[in-house]
Amino acid sequence: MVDKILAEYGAVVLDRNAKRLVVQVDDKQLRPLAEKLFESGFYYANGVGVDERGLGHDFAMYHVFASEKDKLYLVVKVSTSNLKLPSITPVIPGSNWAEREAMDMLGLEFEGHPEPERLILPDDWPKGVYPLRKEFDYNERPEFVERKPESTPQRTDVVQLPLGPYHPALHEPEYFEIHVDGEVITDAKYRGFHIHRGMEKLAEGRLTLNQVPFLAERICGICGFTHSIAYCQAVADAAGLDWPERAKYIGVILLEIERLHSHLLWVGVVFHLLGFDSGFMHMWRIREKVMDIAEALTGNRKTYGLVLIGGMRRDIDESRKNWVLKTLTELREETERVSKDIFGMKELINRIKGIGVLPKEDARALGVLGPVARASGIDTDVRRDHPYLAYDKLDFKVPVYPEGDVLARLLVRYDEIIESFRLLEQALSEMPQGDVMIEDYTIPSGRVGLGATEAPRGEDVHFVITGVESKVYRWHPRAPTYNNLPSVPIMLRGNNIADAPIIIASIDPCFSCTDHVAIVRKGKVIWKGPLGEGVKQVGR
Amino acid sequence: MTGQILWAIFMPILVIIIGLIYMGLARKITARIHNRYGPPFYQNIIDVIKLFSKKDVANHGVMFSLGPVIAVAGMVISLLFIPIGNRPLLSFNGDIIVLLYLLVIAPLGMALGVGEGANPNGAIGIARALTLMLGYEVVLVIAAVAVMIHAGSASFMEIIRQQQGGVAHWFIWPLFLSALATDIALQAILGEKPFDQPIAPHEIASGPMVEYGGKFLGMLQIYHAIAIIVETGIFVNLFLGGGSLVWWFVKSFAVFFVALLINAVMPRFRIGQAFKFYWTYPAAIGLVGLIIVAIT
Repeated sequence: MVDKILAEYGAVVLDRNAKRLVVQVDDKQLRPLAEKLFESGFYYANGVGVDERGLGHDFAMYHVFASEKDKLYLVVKVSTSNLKLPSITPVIPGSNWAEREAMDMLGLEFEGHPEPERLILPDDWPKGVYPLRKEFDYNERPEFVERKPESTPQRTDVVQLPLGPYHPALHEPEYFEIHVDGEVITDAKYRGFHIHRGMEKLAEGRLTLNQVPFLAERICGICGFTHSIAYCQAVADAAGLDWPERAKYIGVILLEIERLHSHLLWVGVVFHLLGFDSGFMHMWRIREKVMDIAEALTGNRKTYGLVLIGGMRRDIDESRKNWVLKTLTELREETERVSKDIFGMKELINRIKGIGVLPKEDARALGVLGPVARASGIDTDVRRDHPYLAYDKLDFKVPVYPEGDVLARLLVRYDEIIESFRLLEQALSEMPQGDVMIEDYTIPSGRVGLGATEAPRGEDVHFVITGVESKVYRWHPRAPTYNNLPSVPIMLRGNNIADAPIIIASIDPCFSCTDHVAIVRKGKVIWKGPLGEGVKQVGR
Repeated sequence: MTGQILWAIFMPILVIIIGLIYMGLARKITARIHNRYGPPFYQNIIDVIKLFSKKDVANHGVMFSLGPVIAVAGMVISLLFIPIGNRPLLSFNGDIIVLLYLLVIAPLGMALGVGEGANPNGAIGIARALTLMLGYEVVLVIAAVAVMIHAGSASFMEIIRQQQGGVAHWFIWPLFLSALATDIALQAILGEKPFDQPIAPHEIASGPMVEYGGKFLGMLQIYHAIAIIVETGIFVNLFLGGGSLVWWFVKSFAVFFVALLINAVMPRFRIGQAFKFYWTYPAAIGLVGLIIVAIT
């Protein structure tokens, strides 16, 4: 099916295995191919601009499409010698941000893009400086340019209510400009990427292949482990490595622990935003036990620092297995009891029923992922569709609700919590003995690798091109919130201002995850040098 | 006469301190329900002292500064009409009706001040507060009329006098439906969940308070402290038979405690839901109560 489409548009297969396919097409064929792929059930998963001059090529754009039906990731590469490429945003809206990101970071131009504006770089970043080009050094700081913001005329017909960059309902900086008429939201605009940490550049510039997992784990403060797994899967994919069985099971256990604590945390936040603080505190009290389990197994509550390309660095503590299983049973009972009380609260359910609706068509066009997609009736789950680690040996259900409102997103996550308990019990009891790491491997250079995991918020896609001397040539992680955020303005329109925070929170946004991809340096450099010395200087 | 004057000076100070302790206890009790420790019960007194020792940072004009002053003044005047511990200051036939008018002064003062602040969060908060007021005032007035008809008087002191002689004489028994309606209205008057839309911190960043800091915020804390005593005091005087000084505050705290418990276990309504709620169930309860009183 896919091969027929690809042959029709003259795509050349560069590399293929059971889970992913890398092809190159002519830039004139790109847009019709993308349209055809979208029609046949593919969604836009990731878009990576690469400066391939170091590999002896020109600039290139890799579009990653994914399909649940074909159980396949399709990487479509287009090269350009004059920095110009056709935009596929008119046929797949989901590629909007990926293309703007490549515009900002590499200076690629996309012809026919509906809004070719800056997305990631701040407005005062100098023109013509592209941070992800190879000639730009990782510790380079462009000249600071004094810039006055353009004064936008105040509109008189609507009230513009700023939500952010700092707001009590948001735990990370981002900015929503909400247009309200009375209490009703008429439109919403998003401007984000306030918290770039330049991780890609750091990884490409000064880290080695086996150091990146630790950086990847720090992308997110909640679901970091899934990022480090996705990165290692990507490199293992490029090198054709297969982990030992025990390492796979350890990965599953820790990923499910992460999903549990992330979902419990999210449910708490939802209650908090609805003003139901008792529910919030008690949800987090339950979550605390999940953190204890993580500590018992790995030694750390968060950021386990366990993964390398070849597998797990340490084995988990087998002697605590019985205690963990007992605690899990208690936890499950407690979660079910508290949730039963809460779902019986009519006031709470009425508050979130029917608000923030995301129709299935819009969700698919934007490539919305994870619980948000499943609450809009899209049956997708990386764990089932593109099995990784040991998920193909375990039994679990994928909850799907067609309503598309905030209540559906709560129910999807609640069902996932219960499924996670089941998965954990299975994985812990079925875990085989044996090695947890392979150390005897070589990583070929210039190979494309793709790793995908189902993070608590949706699909994580890491794209890797291996380099020489144990370096990554290109690493592009794409967190699920990157795909989910563009759907928020659609959800907000027509709703009450009172519901705005809960609607924004309903996608479980993780702005740091989304924003990891660029270098931002506003204002003057106050100190350049070692950290300890800098602290002294600032403190003085 | 001298006693009266001294009481008029001493009483608002006492009420402010007790009101602040109520707020501190509220934080403590809520914290225990949340499975937390919470701050010490005198935390709000410390907060107010700290806030008053701060410099003014931002000021948006005369009305902005006057807003909290009008709010506090409106509340202090309302307080003078509430007999606390059987010691009336301004008492005459019809003082309940006057009080119902005076209670509106404080929110209006806030509205004027916030309006000059020009923060959309504050404006939305005030719009919500006034909408909510339309909702609960109707309920409160219906219930108050029922009490006035039952007692044949519009004076707090007369109503308290008729309730003397033990728990069985309290108006909460013959006027149970009116008392229930008043208590539901009290939840919004006190600004407790599910009716805390005007200050909803997660939605509109504390609404009216958003632009106020330092001394103004301290003033608003004091306003809130007096408001709690005045608002629970209305219920105590109308339905729980007033009482001696200590006894009066015990009853008042009991009324506050009920509101707190509801606050702890409820999510916030949307403003439309809240308005609709008030004009259906409590209004209906109040009306039935009024009809029963009018017939018997």
